[in-house]
Amino acid sequence: MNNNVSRILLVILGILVSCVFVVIAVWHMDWHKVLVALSPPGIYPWFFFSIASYIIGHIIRGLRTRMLISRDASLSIMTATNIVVVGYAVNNIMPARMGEFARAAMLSERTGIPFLQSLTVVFIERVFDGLAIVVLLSTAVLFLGTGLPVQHTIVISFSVFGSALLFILLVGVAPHRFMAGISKATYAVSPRLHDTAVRITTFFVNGAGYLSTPANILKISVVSLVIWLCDAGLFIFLLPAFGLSINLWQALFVMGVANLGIFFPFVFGHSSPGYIGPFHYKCIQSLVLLGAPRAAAQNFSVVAHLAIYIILLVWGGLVLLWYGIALGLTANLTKRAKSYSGLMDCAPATANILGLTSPDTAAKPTAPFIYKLTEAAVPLDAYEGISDPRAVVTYVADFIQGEIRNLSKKFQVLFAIGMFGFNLIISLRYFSSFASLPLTTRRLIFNSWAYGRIPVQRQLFKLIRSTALLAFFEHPAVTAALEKRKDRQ
Amino acid sequence: MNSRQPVQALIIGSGAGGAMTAQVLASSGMEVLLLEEGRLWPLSEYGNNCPEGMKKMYRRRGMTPIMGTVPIGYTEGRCYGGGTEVNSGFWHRTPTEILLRWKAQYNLEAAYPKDLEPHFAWLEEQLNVSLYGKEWPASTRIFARGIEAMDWSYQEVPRVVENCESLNFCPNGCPSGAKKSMSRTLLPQAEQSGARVLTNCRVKMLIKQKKRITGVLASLLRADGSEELIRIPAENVFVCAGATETPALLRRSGIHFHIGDSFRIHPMLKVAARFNDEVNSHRSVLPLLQVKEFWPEISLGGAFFALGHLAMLLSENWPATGQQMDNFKTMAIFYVAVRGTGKGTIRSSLTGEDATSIKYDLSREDQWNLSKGLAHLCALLLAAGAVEVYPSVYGLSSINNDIDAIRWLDQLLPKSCLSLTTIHAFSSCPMGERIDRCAADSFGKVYHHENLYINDGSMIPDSPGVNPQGTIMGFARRNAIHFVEEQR
Repeated sequence: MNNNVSRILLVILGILVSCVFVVIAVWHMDWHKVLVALSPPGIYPWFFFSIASYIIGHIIRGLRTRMLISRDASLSIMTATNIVVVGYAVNNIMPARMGEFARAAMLSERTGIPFLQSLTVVFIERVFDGLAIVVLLSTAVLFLGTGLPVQHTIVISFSVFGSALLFILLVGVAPHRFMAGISKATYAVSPRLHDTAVRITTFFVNGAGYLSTPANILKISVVSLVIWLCDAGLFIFLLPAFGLSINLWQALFVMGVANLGIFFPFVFGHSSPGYIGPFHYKCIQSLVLLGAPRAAAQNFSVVAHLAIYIILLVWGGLVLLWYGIALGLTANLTKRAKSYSGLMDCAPATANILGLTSPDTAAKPTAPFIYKLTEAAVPLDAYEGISDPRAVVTYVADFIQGEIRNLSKKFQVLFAIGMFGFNLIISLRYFSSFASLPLTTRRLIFNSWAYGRIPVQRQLFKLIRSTALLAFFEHPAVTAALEKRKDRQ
Repeated sequence: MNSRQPVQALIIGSGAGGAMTAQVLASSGMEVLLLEEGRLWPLSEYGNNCPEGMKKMYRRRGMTPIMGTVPIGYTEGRCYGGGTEVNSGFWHRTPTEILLRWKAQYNLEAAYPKDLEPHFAWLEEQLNVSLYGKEWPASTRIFARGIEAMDWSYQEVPRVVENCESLNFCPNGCPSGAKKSMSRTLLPQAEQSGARVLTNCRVKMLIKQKKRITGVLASLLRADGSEELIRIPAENVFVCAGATETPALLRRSGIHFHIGDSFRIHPMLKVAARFNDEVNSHRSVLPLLQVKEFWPEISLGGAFFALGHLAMLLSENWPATGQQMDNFKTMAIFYVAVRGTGKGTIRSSLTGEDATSIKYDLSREDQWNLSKGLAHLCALLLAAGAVEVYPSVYGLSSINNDIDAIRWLDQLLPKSCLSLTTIHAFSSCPMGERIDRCAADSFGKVYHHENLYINDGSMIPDSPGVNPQGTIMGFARRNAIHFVEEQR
């Protein structure tokens, strides 16, 4: 199949698959229950606080991912957080923790590190997550009383995550020994198996590389605890919305039980898209255990799930959409591109065949505001004998306008916002637009902004003042006037 | 050339790295196609005033700011010949200490002075690397006087120039052709060996198939202003688009492994100095000396002088210093450059437009070195007979005595008052055998790719502490020859 067509089909398929999953996810929602749960008066401020806490948790997750891969790649916190959120979003619309694979794939794509190494990083994160939840749950049980029937869950979870962590730490602290052990063990079986095993082990060892020092292990542990405290924040802020008292230990307990309940696919008997069912069940069960009325617990579980769901679907959806657009643009570029056949064939043997007559991109007219600003910026009055001062100002203004148009879009927007703010302040102060003010007033204003004490104002006007002075003093008429003046002196 | 077949070697960029690569590959008999985003200007179009030069020969007409804790003005050439058309032509071999550091930190193979010696020697002959050869201009003599008064060591820096006419047009293209820029030297050599060139051709992305680059998508600006998107298949691709555009292109193409994560620069603080006698810097070549007393952390030297540049420098404190424009004939511009220790990043634009996001955070060490450098430079200039020195630092309009100068040895220049610039950028895709920090191997082959190479300032592992043209070209030639030998 043609490469372009296959790319376009891939994009369309991706969007269709996303739509199908969103429909599946929404299909499982009991909207009547949601509306009932959201009906109590005064719920919304708490609802938004809980969302904010959950979002902060995800940003810290992004930070943790960044730390874990810092030896091999550099990611902005925004990108790292987006990767985490996409993983969670996919987990919420696909069963069997497929999100972890999506997260690893995206991490690999964004950083260039091999997929297996990314998968190791995700695995490490999940192990630390599991242990953080167990620690927080155990602490909550300790404070709430030992009568709560979760000891069994805690012991199993601790054993599973603890063993996994021990293994990871052994690899992280002594990677060479681990590699040597794998090498020895597999070489005896078959050389081919040995090569494959060593290759896979290398990825695993690299993935665990950040955990080679006690300080780094401590950092990841603390960050993981903070992440799950933020997640517990989601539960804390929702408790008063349903007439339950704010209690950190109760929130930690509910958070711990609900999350451990959905943590293991197939193990605790539940893994469904969006965890609809298992999450609610565990949430209700834990709240009832703490003495909450069943009706309030039911509504609580629905709203807590909704808060998580909204964030992940909206955020994750936007990130995926962005990806889709980027892929679409690529596909479009590929589709539009012509073969360069014939381009070189018709050219002389040794010549640059194009490029002597490309147009000047800054030939568009200069905005009147820029002209008025330029008038205020240049010290025209100080230089007598310039025959056509207006031509000089026009030359400088055109140059400034061209420079602004050549800024990247981001800087153009920032500059436009800054100038809008400037105009607004001037309008409020003088009841007139800057351009309508007399030249002397405009000069005073310009000087106070461009050379004043406020750094933001200076930065905003730096482009104008620098380019204005550059073009002004490089104009032949000004240079001549300056030379004459010097000679007179 | 049959254009239906993949090009044997596609080179993106015609600056110091790209031209060098094209020359080596073409002269070895390979089929070479070189793409340049900028335009080819005839010599008659060189030597304009600064605004016209910026319009013609610079990326975004010189508007490529580096964002960070202190915004830094950065400019780079974008024309046939790249940065070599608009630089001052200063030439340094890579210092031995720096090469040893790169070996220690990046495990850069085959990069000892003896490995690079033949490449430097060849280049120095081809580019006529030489000293000025005539009586130094006034600004250079004054600078030498100051250095001697301080009892410091200095050197006249050789340049890639033959019969310099001291026209003072270095940053706007040398109209006499004295500067041995790439458009005058290696590019014609490459063309004579059969290399083909497309100017006004911007590569939008590399086309990837697993670990191979199969070609590029590029937009070609036609003479009538229209753009045409073309697809060029290639067997081997060399990205030589410079320290900011090479990583941006690679990242746009989905190649991220250590790409654009370790961008470095030489932050530069300029000062203007006023003397009693006429210097006439506007009519002579820039000061030719550099003070290496405090190298590699701090370098002091002379900068290009134009009335517009002087006005920009003075604009930091314009109400207090603007009237000094009248004294331009007695003034010259100098700089403090530091070996940047902060880290920066290069990212392709999120909005999909062809704009690169450049970030560099000035480190505290950089800040200290700039402060100390300013103290040393001001003391030197005052010792050379300067009446007043005007730093491009807001709130510090002038320095006219040693005490005011020397206090910056122990006092930090505030970040919010600094007005910094740079023209030296590198290290955004470092090469070396340390796969945990390098984007390419010791010869510029991008990791995890079979036929993709980088060969420009982006591959320099770390800040060289000297003008980088010599380093870039020396390594580019070494890498290109290594590639040719491997192909055989």
